[in-house]
Amino acid sequence: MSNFIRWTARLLGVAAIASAPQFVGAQEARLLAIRDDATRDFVRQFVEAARVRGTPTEPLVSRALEGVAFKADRKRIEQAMAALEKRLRRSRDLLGAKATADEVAAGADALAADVPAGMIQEMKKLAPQRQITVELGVLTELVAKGISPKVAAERIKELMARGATGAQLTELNAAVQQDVALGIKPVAALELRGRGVMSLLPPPASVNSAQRR
Amino acid sequence: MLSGIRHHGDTVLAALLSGAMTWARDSVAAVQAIGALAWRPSPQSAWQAEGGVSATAFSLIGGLRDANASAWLRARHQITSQFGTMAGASMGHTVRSEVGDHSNAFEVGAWAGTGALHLDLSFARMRTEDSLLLAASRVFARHRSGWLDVEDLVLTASWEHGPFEVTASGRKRSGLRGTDADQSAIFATASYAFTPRYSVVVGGGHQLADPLRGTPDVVIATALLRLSFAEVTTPPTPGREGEATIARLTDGSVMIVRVRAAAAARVEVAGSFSGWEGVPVTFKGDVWEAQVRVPPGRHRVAYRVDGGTWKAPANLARFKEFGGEVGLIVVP
Repeated sequence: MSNFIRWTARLLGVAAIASAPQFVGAQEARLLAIRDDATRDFVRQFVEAARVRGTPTEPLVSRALEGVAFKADRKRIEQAMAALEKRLRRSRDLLGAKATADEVAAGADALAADVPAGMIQEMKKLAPQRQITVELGVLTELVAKGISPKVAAERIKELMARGATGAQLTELNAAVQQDVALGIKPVAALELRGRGVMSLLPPPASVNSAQRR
Repeated sequence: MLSGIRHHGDTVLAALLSGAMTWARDSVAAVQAIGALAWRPSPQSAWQAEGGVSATAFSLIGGLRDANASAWLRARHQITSQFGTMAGASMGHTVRSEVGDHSNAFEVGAWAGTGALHLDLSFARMRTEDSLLLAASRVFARHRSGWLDVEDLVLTASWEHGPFEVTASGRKRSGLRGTDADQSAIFATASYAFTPRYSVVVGGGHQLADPLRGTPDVVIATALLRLSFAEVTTPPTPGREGEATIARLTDGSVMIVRVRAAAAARVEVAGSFSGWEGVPVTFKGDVWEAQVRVPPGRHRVAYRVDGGTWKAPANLARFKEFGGEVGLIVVP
């Protein structure tokens, strides 16, 4: 058994080492979409420095490409990347070292939408053993629609505590979108739709017992 | 009742299987199974063919002596995005107390849809031997030819507003060739989708006897909870020229983009899912539409018309960046 574990660990280590340059190579290929040499060099160096600092680099590359698509100048792209990296690092601190790159990026989006750092930490505490990418994404969308961060975070935390799945939260968000498009106030739509999702979830006692099991 | 629908290959082929068990107060019970297929040559095709079969066993307590089998075939043709026609034929055979009665019908119709309102008008001629069933619903033959002929004019209107949908159907039945029939019936349903996956449907009204399926003239009220495991979400049609809307499928893999830009020559959508490379959107009748496969996670998305400014779809949360706006979607 110990041999099996040892060999598996070695194999995974080799696979990780072999895939890392490919990943970097794929990012490098994407950077070729940046036609301006100076901007491309800056982005490459910035991404490399972020990688060394342990910050997820994929959101940074994506933001740079977004800037190119929007025909932003180099200075603007630099500013956007610097601001994003700051939020990514803050998000990683809030979510813990085990947080995935996508989760960290979702936390950074939430910070950009003015969700208080304490609320992100509280959400993670409710689900320390799993990703909360969708939960953070839905929270960010709700806040961006004009719902106060406190109200939106409380509702999502309540649903998470009752065992709501990512799909259920995404459906809630889609339903709120639909209501807002019809002229209903975002807060009222969240309240109404939140109750709808809540009615489908098991009562708190059974969630607790299920979690204990 | 349990039913399931399966789409295959960009909705070129869809199959429906459904089973139902009915228990009535007068101890008449029924078990029914339905299978149906819809097919079109390509997702953009104006033609669609539909067909199906159903089998029903009545009077379970009496030992499965009464039963019905029916089949139908229909062709639909979409002339414009708001108007289309259909034609079809169906046949059914009912055995009751070891006596078999045959029925057949053909129908033609047209439909029109504008915004939230959809109208469907059809005309059907039906010929049946099932005199017992029709006599129970006050339809009689003036002579003993063995066949009863009736024609039905059916108007169905449905109206959709966000999570609400109301459908009302009126049927006018007249006798032909010595058949005395002058009946009308109205049936209506209302549904409310309290999440995209769950909806409640209530309905009630009068339904005329259907010899093709062996069902009697009834006044009924229904209530049911509908659960969709992987329903296809259609984004709302954008309200203003140049606007876009986005919806995603609840199975999380595909998002549907709709852009209203009648005079445009080219529409693209892009986002973190495509490395900000433009994905072409196709013109379909009156709106531009594309289905884009997206991996799970959070994605920033924008669209542009004729190479202009990238904009955020109207129904998404928006973020300002680089002098423009992007929308945010989360795929579970």
